[in-house]
Amino acid sequence: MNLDSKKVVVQLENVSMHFNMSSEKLSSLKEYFIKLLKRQLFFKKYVAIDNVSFSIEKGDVFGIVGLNGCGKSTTLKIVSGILKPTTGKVSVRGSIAPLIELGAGFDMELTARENIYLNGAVLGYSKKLINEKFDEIVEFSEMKDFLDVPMKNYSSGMVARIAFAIATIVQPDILIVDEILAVGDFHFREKCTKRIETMMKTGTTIVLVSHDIEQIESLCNKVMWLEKGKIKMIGGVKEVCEAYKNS
Amino acid sequence: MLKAYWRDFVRFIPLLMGLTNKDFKLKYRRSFLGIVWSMLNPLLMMIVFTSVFVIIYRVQSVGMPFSVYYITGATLFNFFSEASSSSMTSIIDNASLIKKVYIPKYIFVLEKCAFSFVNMLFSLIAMMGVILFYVITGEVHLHLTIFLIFIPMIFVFIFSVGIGLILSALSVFFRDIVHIWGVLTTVWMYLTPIMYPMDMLSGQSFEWVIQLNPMFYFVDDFRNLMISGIIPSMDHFLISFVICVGTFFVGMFVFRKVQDRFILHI
Repeated sequence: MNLDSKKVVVQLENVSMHFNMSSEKLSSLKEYFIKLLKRQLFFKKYVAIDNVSFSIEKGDVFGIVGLNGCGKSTTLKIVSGILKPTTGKVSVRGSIAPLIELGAGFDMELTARENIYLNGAVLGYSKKLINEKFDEIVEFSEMKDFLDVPMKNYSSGMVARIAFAIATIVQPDILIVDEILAVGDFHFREKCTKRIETMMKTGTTIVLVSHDIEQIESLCNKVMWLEKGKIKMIGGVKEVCEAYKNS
Repeated sequence: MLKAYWRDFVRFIPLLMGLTNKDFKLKYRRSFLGIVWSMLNPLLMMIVFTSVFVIIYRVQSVGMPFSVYYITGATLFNFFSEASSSSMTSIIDNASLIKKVYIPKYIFVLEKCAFSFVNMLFSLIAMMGVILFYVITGEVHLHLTIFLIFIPMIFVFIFSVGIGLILSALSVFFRDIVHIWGVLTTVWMYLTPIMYPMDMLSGQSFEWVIQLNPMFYFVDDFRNLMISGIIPSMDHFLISFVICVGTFFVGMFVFRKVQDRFILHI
């Protein structure tokens, strides 16, 4: 990891991400050879992110805005290591807690109690740590009465509560938030926002994607505006948000 | 570099155990006999095959009671067949997780093999029961080599992980593998001396196929240690070792080469 300055925790250099549109639904050998013969195999490249470079410093609350399909989520996935970029370099320093889709690691057949342990393991936490934090998770999610109910009987808001409580139980160096605060009732959203704010104060770097421009304005100090996979504008929250709103 | 891999692996050991635990819970949830099925199933299968082969086909002279011969071979082979086919789809089945969280992807393959291994341990209990029955009737004798059966078991485990890695990587790109694998394992099973004695094949034109079959060595050594009290010859041991370690490394190589592209295809 070669980060320019000590304060930079996330750095993307000339990162591009190409998806192969034609290969997307290519799932049998026959199809593969037919396409190969027709020479359609490597055509139709879809560029989700095009030569993007930016860096995030420690303590930043970095917002990403843009229309649907402009590459916001792809960027987050690249930062959190889920996707490997086609070209370019990504350097990340510190632990990452991705809140990309809440409850991704849940098995709906299991009870909440079992899922807390399983999801904790998915995020790389030890059993001991979860044992210690178990009560805190339950208390934060306010799901004490439903702990031994299979999660398939939960409402989506209830699932989100558990998931958020687990994911934020350890203070990560970098927290990645993708549009998750849209679920849950206002009371719980407030609670989540508060927890994120506490983390901000104690030095966690946050990368946030949201369509709620007011949320971005109130939380972030730096904003990047993506358009069709390219950076349209990057800088302070006020100017970028103004420009974005007026576009 | 290696150190980073190791750290990554250690960090996800709880996940490995958690997923195995989950599979176990889900497998027996809402079944009346629960875990007993893990022991009952091999026994019932043994009864079926013994009936078919002894009563209908009149197979004789396997050198031991047929049911013992069958269940020792089948325990090991069924592990391989279960581990390989479940790890084959492990990447596809965990698509939702792989798309949203960073997890070393080989964990899913390893987990399926580990789960199948735990299942095999239960079948082993059933197998021991059958053997003990014949020890009491005096048709089978126990030998100290029984304590060495873990060696072929570990060999098969490593071999299965290797095959599982290859299959899971291929199946992401070509789902056809998933459909054909069931047929292939059946063929493979019949090419392994599980239900017929080895000497039934000697002199046959395709005898060399058996020599190329890795499972033959594992099953043969396992049975010899378990029942006959024979320690496998050095060249058997070396062949087994080379096969399983070789398969494992080929699997790792293939898997590592393509794993970054999984996410685009699942």
